[in-house]
Amino acid sequence: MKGNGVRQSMAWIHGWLGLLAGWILFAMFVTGTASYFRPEITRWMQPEYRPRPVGNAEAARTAVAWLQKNAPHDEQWTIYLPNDRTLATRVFTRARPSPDPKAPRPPRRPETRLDPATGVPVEARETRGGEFFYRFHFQLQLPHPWGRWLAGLCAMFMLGAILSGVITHKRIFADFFTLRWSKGRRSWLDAHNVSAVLALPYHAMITYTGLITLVAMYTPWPILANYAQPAAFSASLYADTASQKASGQPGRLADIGRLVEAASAEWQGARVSRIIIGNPDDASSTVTLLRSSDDRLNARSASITYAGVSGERLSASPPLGPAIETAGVMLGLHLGWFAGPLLRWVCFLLGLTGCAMVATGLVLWAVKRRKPGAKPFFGLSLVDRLNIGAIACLPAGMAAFLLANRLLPPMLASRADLEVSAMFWTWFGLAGLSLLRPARRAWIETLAFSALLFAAIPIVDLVTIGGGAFDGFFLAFDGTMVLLAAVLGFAAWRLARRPVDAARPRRRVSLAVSEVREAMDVA
Amino acid sequence: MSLEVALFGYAGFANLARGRGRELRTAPAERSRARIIGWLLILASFLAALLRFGPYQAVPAWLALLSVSGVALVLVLSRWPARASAPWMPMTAVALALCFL
Repeated sequence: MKGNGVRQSMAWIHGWLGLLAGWILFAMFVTGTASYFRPEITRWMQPEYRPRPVGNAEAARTAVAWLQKNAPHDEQWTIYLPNDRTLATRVFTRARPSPDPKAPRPPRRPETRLDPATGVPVEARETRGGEFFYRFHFQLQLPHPWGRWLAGLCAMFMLGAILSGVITHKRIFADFFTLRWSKGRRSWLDAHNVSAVLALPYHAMITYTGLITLVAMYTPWPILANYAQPAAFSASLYADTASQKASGQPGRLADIGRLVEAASAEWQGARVSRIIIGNPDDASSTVTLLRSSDDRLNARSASITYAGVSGERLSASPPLGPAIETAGVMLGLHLGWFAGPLLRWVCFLLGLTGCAMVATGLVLWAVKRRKPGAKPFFGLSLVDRLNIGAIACLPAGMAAFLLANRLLPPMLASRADLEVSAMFWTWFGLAGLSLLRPARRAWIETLAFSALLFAAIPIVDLVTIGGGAFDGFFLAFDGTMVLLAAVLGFAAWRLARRPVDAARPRRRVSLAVSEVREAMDVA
Repeated sequence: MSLEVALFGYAGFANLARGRGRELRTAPAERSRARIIGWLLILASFLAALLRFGPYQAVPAWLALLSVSGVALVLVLSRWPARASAPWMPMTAVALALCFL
């Protein structure tokens, strides 16, 4: 560390926080950015599934009919109704707990996806779809709770890096628009600054709201100190109305479609997004309908509860208190569900800017320490290799995940897991193979390979699903893959060109000034 | 569509870049005018966001669209410095038209 000023200390903190968490943060940024299109990725990964769209009330009726046939005596049903983006109805059920008080509470059964029009399970290739990237984004494919803890730790590092980065960067306004290509270290610093500063509100928001989303898990102690039972905390927050005791008398549910329409009318036409039915075969069954939050910032939505048998309106959720309202808005900002198509694309581009910020930061760490002509020391080589593995090889893994979806036989058993394996084998395999090549060649070749895999997606899509690919949605998806291939290919091409910075003569007068500035900025 | 927020943002940033005369060789006399126009256009983009997204979603939507327009400007500016800020007037006109659609 040079000097003792605040800026220098902050630069030191910024460098190390960014480096240590950088590789995981890059993976979190990339998969999180992909998760803006979670339903679309799932839809692309089940090309044979093209249902006839039906109204919400009809979808609720068919789902309840299927549940009455297949899980009539369960304690609770949860139904996620389809919308413009998610085409299937998703249902979960929870079995009645055993009468033995010592027995553990039965877990929620796995999701079943139903065709909204017919009410039969979706017949399409098995896949984890966009859900995989979404889960990986905060669980990192590690066992619970370690993945979430690690993601949280990296998010803390990120928040620290953002704050220290802002303090370090003394020319925020002077360098606001400055991006100079082909100038070696200077260019990496410019690219890092520009991608960080221009999208700073987004980076700060996404990091902070991401942490806050899981705050009750990271710091459970305030709740423990104030509530004897954690359940009392959630009851006081959400006014849990659906957990009524069963009466033991059999009962039959009233027409669910009518309740959906009534709730929607009460919300001035807003959609019902979720239905929770408690004790569905009991005389005291309850039906709670939750309002869709697609049109508002708050991701936690209002609800109305009806008596299941008579259809009588029992209660509505009280207006949210300030704390839960704040938490809901933060979650909503992070998930971006409120965003319409244009704004969703904007969020996607900002996510990519975040990826660029982390990637350029990681590269910058290595570039700053590289001495021309000298053999890199061990730590530098290690960072360089990890950079290649994280930045250039992860995209190849993600492309392999999508390619595996098309290339594995649709009826293959446990193909969903094989798709995930394809991603990790490609990612880590390519990173391993890249060790056999000199660092510079490894960068070029892994980036070019990633670009090739992305470019192959539309071709494989066309070959495997044929005419089905000529649908607006599939064309848009494949077009996006071509653009991603172009970006990766551009990076490989830029690297493959000889660097020109050393050869270019500089003007004498500005030389001294720019050298001093550079030294100050890079320090 | 809410493209007008980004168009105003791009036009505003283009003028601020002209006003600094660093990436673009703007005549000193023109710089302060460009700066004023730039800030007014940024303000216009906020008002457009307010109009389009309502009071609650305006701020996040505005910041997001403004950031993306800034990134776009910097990328174009780094490659074609002279041409990057040239289309700010047609952009403002299109944005104004979109506001009233």
